[in-house]
Amino acid sequence: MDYAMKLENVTKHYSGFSLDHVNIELPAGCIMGFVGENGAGKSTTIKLILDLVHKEEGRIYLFGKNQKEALSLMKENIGVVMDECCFPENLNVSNVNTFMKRIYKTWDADKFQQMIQKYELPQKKAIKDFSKGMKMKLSIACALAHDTKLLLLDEATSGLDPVVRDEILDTFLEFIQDETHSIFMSSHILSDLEKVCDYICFIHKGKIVFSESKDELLEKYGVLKCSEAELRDIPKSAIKGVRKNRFGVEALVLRERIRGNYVIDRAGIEDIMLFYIKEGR
Amino acid sequence: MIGLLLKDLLSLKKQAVAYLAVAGFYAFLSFSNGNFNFFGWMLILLSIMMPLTAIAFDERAKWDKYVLTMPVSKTQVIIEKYLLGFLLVLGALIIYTVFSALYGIDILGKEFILVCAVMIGIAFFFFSLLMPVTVKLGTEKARITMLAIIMIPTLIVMSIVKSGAKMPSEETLTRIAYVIPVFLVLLVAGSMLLSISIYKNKEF
Repeated sequence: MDYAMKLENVTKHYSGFSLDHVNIELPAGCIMGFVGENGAGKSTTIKLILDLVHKEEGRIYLFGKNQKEALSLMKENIGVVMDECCFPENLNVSNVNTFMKRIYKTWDADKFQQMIQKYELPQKKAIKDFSKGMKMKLSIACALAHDTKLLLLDEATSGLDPVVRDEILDTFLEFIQDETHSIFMSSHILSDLEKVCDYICFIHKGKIVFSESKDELLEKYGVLKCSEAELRDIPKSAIKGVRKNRFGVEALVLRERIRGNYVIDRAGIEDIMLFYIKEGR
Repeated sequence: MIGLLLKDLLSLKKQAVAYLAVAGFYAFLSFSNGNFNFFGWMLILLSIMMPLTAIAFDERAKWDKYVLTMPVSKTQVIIEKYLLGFLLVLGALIIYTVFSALYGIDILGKEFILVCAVMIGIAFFFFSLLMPVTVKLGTEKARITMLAIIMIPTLIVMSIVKSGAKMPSEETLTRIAYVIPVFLVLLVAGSMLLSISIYKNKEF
């Protein structure tokens, strides 16, 4: 299998926080959602991939090449959307097009303008007067207006209203139609990830808890609703997390290890994440 | 590199208009009191402040972490800021020369060329000291250090003058004049290398 991106045992220490031997594999042509609570290490991981912070251990590969080589030769093929719009605020869309076409050899001014028109962004209005949604749309237009094959998104849809988010998710789905294109996106909005992702990678306190195909994940886990007494009969290895309520208990379980007549509901990504986090506390 | 330069020039456009308005005011003052050098010095001061303003804009927008995801190296990011500084000093000198010519100063005369050379020298001297500090500390934290960087050499020169130290002979001054350009080139190159090395070790 070809991987657009591969992280092997990537480690980085800060005082009070460590990213601990992170392993992620993003197959080419797929969208991977990167989830985790605030401070879990999502942004740090993305910065490590881009060498904005320096890793202490481990290896990173992009398009099969080691990170240093890939970042010196293939930045034209990497599009990045940060959690904020990073253009100086007194610039406008027209200015951005003027200098970006001299930064990227593969800059496609027509494609950029088409996206600007589609997103209805004004050409001459200063970026400082843009709404958060408009700023994000500009960042996305920039990330896709060159020969991008790998799109890295750091909380690109957070803080946006559902209509804008939906438009942006459509853009991502359009982008991924080309099987050489891949997306790695961190987000808090798990419903968005459930909608578009092929893989889900869950990071908790700097460690990867799982990195699996979304469909397998949804098939593998379920939420068991039963009484505390019934829960005692379930094998411990099948239980990944427990939540008590006034009617009994809810447990995140591995479906295939449950024998007997129990009510097992579908577990969404949010359920899986919350059960894991609470279990860890 | 040209893209980065364009981005800075475009983002400084409004600032440049404000600076030119200030410069125009000083040009008027200089015309009235006959001290035209003062106008030149103001232009030089403004031109070395502009790249630092561009850095402040970048910091506010968190541009660095974004630009480094583009096909641009850390070395290019720094060299571009020096280039911007040089271009703006050059621009300031052109404006100064044009205004001086309009004022009737012999712009091909030895005295005018010497004044321009001193201006370039002083501009590059301070710019070379300011840049690594700004890259290291950021514009906010670097402000106090910048003040020290400008004040200390000025105070040293003033105290030497006040102490009544004997002026060096003309021969010595001529020798120094030959050494200064070499010193400045080395200072600018050293400053650039230092800034690049600081920037390369930075995390964003």
